[in-house]
Amino acid sequence: MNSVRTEFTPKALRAYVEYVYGDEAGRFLGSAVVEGRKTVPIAEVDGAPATAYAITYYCDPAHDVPFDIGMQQGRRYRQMVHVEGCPKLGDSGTVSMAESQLSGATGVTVDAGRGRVLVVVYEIKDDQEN
Amino acid sequence: MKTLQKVTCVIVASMLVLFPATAFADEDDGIMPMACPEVGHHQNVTNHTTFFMTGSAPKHWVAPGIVFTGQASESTTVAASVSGGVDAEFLAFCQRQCACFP
Repeated sequence: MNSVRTEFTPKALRAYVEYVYGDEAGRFLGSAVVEGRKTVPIAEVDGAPATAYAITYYCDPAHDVPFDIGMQQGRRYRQMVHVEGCPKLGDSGTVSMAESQLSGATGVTVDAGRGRVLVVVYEIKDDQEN
Repeated sequence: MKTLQKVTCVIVASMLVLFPATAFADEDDGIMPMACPEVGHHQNVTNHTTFFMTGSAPKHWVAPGIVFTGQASESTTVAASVSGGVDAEFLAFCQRQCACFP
């Protein structure tokens, strides 16, 4: 994650994910850097049974505060992960969820609190390992 | 992911562990979690809604049905719990990536 640590931008995180996963990264749906709470709009997925959303995040280590990530479909919200802080080297991870759990999701909601969180969102297929 | 689940979850054992009904994340309510129960530290159970990624720093609370992949952790213990008032908990010892569904 060195490239991300030196450049805290969605573009850098996207480059990292696509470098690590290559074609298995899936179809890019959206990305953002979030301060406070924000819903990041995403592109539509095809809705096939094996479709899943994969969200890779990276938090800004300058702010060691909790943050949350979930999927949004209109007013519906589906929590995915709550992280209790951001250590001095930052923290990165990927959470994925079957599309059927929240069909037609329109965005990814991030509550970064007083911190900053990068997210990149991909559409993957069920047999992918991203 | 199903295949990966089989590969990465080394042991999946069901255990009866008690802990309280602290709110984590309810669907559709739009409310973010404030706190989460920690596995094995409590005695009263009415509801289970979270996976707790023990041993990870920072702690990650992963909702049921979500696959979590940590970038740094080589081995992580994950406790998956069951929603709906079932006093059961599944404890899974996973390596790097876990997908343990209640």
